[in-house]
Amino acid sequence: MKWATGSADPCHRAVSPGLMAALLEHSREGVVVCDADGVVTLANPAAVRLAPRLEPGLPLPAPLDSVLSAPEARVVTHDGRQIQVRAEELGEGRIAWYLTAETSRRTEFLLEAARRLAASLNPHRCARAAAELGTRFLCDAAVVFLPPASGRRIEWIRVVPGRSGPDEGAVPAAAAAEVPGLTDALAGLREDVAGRQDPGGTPDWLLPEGFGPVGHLLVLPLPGNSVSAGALVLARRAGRPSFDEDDQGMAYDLATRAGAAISAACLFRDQSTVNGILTGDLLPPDLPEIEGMRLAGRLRASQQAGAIGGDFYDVYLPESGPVERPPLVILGDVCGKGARAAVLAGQVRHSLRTLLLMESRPERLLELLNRSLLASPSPHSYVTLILAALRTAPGGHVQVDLAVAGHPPPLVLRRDGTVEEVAVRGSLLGALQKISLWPATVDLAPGETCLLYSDGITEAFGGPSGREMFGEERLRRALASCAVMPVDALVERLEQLSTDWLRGGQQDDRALLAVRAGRGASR
Amino acid sequence: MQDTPPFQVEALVPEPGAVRLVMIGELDYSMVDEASAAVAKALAEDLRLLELDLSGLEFVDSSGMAVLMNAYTGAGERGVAFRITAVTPYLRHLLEVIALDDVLDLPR
Amino acid sequence: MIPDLPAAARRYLELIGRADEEGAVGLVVSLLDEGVPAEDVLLRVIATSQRRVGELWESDEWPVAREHGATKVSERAVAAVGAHVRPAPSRGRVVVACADGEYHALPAHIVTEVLRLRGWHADFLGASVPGPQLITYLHREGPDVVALGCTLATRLPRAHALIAACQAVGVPVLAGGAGFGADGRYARLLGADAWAPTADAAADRLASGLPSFPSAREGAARVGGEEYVYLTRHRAELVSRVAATLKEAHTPEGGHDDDLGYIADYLIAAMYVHDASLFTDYVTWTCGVLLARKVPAEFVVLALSVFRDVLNDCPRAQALLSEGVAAAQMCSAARQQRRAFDAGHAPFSG
Repeated sequence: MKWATGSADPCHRAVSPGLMAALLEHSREGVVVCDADGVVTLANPAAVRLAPRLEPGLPLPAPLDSVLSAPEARVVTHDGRQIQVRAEELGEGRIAWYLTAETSRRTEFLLEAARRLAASLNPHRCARAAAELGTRFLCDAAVVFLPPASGRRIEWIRVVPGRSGPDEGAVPAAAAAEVPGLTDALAGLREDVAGRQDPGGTPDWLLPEGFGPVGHLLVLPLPGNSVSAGALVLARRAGRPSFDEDDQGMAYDLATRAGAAISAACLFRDQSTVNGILTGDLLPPDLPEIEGMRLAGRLRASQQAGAIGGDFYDVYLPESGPVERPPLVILGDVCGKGARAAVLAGQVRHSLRTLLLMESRPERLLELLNRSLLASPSPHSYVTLILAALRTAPGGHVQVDLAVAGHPPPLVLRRDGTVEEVAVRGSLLGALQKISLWPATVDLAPGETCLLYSDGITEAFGGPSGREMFGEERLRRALASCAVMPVDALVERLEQLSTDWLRGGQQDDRALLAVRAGRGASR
Repeated sequence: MQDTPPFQVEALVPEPGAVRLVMIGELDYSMVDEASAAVAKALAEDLRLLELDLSGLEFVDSSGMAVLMNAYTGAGERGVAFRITAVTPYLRHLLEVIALDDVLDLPR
Repeated sequence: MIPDLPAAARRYLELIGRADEEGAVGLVVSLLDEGVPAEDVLLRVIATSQRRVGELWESDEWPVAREHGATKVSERAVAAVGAHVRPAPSRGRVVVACADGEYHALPAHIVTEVLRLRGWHADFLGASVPGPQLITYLHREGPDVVALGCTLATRLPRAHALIAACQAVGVPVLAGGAGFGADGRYARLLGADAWAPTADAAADRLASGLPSFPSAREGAARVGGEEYVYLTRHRAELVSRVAATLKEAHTPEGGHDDDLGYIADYLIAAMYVHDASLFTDYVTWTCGVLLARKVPAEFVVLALSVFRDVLNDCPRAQALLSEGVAAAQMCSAARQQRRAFDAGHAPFSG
């Protein structure tokens, strides 16, 4: 700081008042200068940010005025904020104060806790984060107990630094009661505000072998959405200092934040479990093995998180019952998108399953389905559908009896690589009292493929211009190029081509289902 | 780059007791509310004939097709005559796929 | 007797080349029964043969359909290994996924099986996993690590978005696959917590321990930029303008329109990661692939020059394209030299 003392140093001459002001302006360290009367004559922006009540012309506010000049900085609290302050005498009674923000252990803890506990919606990940925060800032071992999901066993996650990864386990409620104060904490009650417990009664299973005797123990409830989100146990080894007041405050903060995170995660888990059960029936089924043929299907929903949409396919194997029939596959499309469309798609699949107990003729099935849709309480339930009954025939052939209701007709890939569109069509379902159908039967020789698809494939917008439809012609050409592929590779490739065509653009629901005659190798 | 033309619908009254809805652009999932509202508004009036001019409709997805179907069935329920006065080749193809070309008596 | 693995790999390649699923699965299972460790079957028979399949496609010896068929059979073979040998999980949970738009699922599938063999509880989500689906899975299942595969550098922007999304929900990411660069440089650039070049290296890396939570990062990765955004937005228009210009110029022996699309994609990816070598490596590689299909490197030189002309407002892209042109010219010169050499050394020709 030679230049500040006013000698004829070359550095001094280099610092003009303008440059000086600029330097102070951009310094991250707060600089405050007072005259001999203790009135502020200069305060740079960093200083004002740290201590907002600083103002030139006014006396230096407390507690800065209590800091005496010394080479070591002191930490003071100003407006609830911790600031490191160092004072230096400049001569002629003037004093400069240098201010920097103090990042205390507590600030660091709060930042880290926010970062880690806000991230996950998985109860185990949240519990692990809480335990790791505990050992990083507070203790030698941390155990989080999660609220019992089924009411019998209590899951725990334990972190002890130096061990590879966390340990996990579950104990019966009776064993949990061995940990002093844990039963109460799990019930959301606490004996002592700080959560301090006598470490003498700690059961062996709580800590890993070789941890050594416990010197200090905190047991805290994790507060949740009006019900307990579990409990937090923090342990220090014997011989370490006890948890002081700061530690206890920080432990309380940790428990509060972890409780909020874990209870939100449990809520998400419960909802996604319910969601999973409700949507389970709406997902496409696993395709079964059928003697003499091979099936492959792909379904992509525009609503990606739920993976459900208005396109659907299903397979109905013959069941023992009054009606004898061959295996039946369907592929369809409900007008609309998202969950609402998926629910209607699920209803259609379910209705068909019921109708198939009494009826096996494809045209008749479609008529019945049409009537049930017209009678549906939800208006505007329009559905397009292909029904394909699959009969094996001599010589490894498969006869496909097709009935189509308002759906693009299937394509057939012949052995020589030509692609044909099946001449079959019929009315959309759910719109007209009387529907018209023109069914057809296709014969597949071994290795030949019948492809059912939804319009999401052909109406995919993209391509070189970004505005072009994939179209039926492109689909036919793509199919022709798949002649030697196994049928699941064929379906995957067609989906891939249509996805590539979209180039990340908005996608509709898309469904593909292929039936190939014969087994094993494609030819 | 050229912007996707938005969907527009305009209601004309070619003669008393008739409404002609002229639909232009792309009728997809995001636009069905607007189109449905126009159909509902037309059918709410004392009507003899509902006409749709679809010659400017470049794209219709399944949700959009549902709007057209609703117009058809809604008109039927109210005893209002329904007619499509003009279609694009693309739309004609779609209507053929869902086998409504006969029912709707499309213009040649 | 220890089975001869190179011979087994050759036999395996032959079977998958015929899409003979029963044969290929039978071979794999018999190797396991003979006592070949499952990891060797996966890496030294199946993965080795699949690399060869890629080369056969590159050199135009196998059409794309045959490559796809072979790969599909290999997927079944990998599944068969998994069904045959399945140790009980003794380590943490890993979820293996491919970036959205990434359809080369087999390497990730092999990684999954190798991790299972090493005692991890590994789940495979399949090819082209949409981001929202992966994040929902992470919340629901709470795995310790995401292993993210990316075989094509053109998927790097999407892989980056996925890495950031996984880390934002507190799950560290192990990146793998050729798309992240031969030395993993793009994995580091895009902030992955770790990188591994191969399936066994991925297992080793996981065994050495990953942080339980992604480390906080100082600021965002330096990726993208104004021209990158512009090109991404106008990619379609760009490609059709280049295609139209080439058509007007009546290029005698042209490549496919798709090739122009790939050039644009690699250009965009190189701009994203600020690395010219990503683009020039692709140009050199594609010259070889096109040459095998009787498209001369001059086509690539011409196409790149047209891209450069069209992009006159994008100096960074133009600089990259100039480097690409130079790389393609090298390929072209090397070939002409070889042709001249062959002509001079073919005593019975012509």
